[in-house]
Amino acid sequence: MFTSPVLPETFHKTQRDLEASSKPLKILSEYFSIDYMKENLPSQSAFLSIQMSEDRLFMYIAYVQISKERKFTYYVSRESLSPDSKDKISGMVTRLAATKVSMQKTPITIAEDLTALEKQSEIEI
Amino acid sequence: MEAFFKPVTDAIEPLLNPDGDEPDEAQPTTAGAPSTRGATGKKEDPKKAPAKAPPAAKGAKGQPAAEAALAQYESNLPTTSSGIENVVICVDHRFETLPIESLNVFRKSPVVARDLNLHLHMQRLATVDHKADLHNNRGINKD
Repeated sequence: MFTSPVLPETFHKTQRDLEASSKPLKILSEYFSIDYMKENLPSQSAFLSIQMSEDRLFMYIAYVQISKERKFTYYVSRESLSPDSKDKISGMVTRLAATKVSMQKTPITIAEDLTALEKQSEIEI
Repeated sequence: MEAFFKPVTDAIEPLLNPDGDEPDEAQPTTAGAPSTRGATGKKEDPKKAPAKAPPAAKGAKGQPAAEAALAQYESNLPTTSSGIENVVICVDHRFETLPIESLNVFRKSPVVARDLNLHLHMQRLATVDHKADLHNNRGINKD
């Protein structure tokens, strides 16, 4: 966002008004406290969060499950990623993306075309 | 993929499925009488679940009877052995194309969903006015 002080005040006012009225921005920037979440997350549910570090050296794992009696169980860990496993997972992501593109671009005229394409994709995966 | 996410699955397997594999899950169910596992972990027959719960017994014996009646209203979803009905996965965008839902650890989870992050999921719940103390399987307290 460009916030030069030499800009007229009306520019900043317009910007502020736009931000204040933007519902998507409000949703994206709204954070819930841990107490609120502990109180309001549904029972009998579990949440798994997997995040890679920016340098792709570590994988952060966070897991919480909430029992019917509202008992919380947590698991938090950091796993280091070996170059082999990184290459393997990158290859898998690339292969899946290529298969997706292939399935989207391959012309399908009859039902057998779709069946053959599905079989081919399964083999590739 | 299983090998890559093994640290994840190894960690959450005992939490999500503490009883491990149950042999009766693999056995084919008889036609016409499929058995399901209720939220309480007990076997339930959906055909036996009446549309209307019987009235609760009066007196001191009313509490177990009321609990039994309440069980009729509980979700018929087969839960994991830890009683979890749904799992929400918030995964890094670099893994988002992978079919993480198909990991073996989620084999018994009836509902596996994804969201971008926990705060956004909380926001969605708040939008539909979700209240954890009301939307549970314990019924509605009498006034």
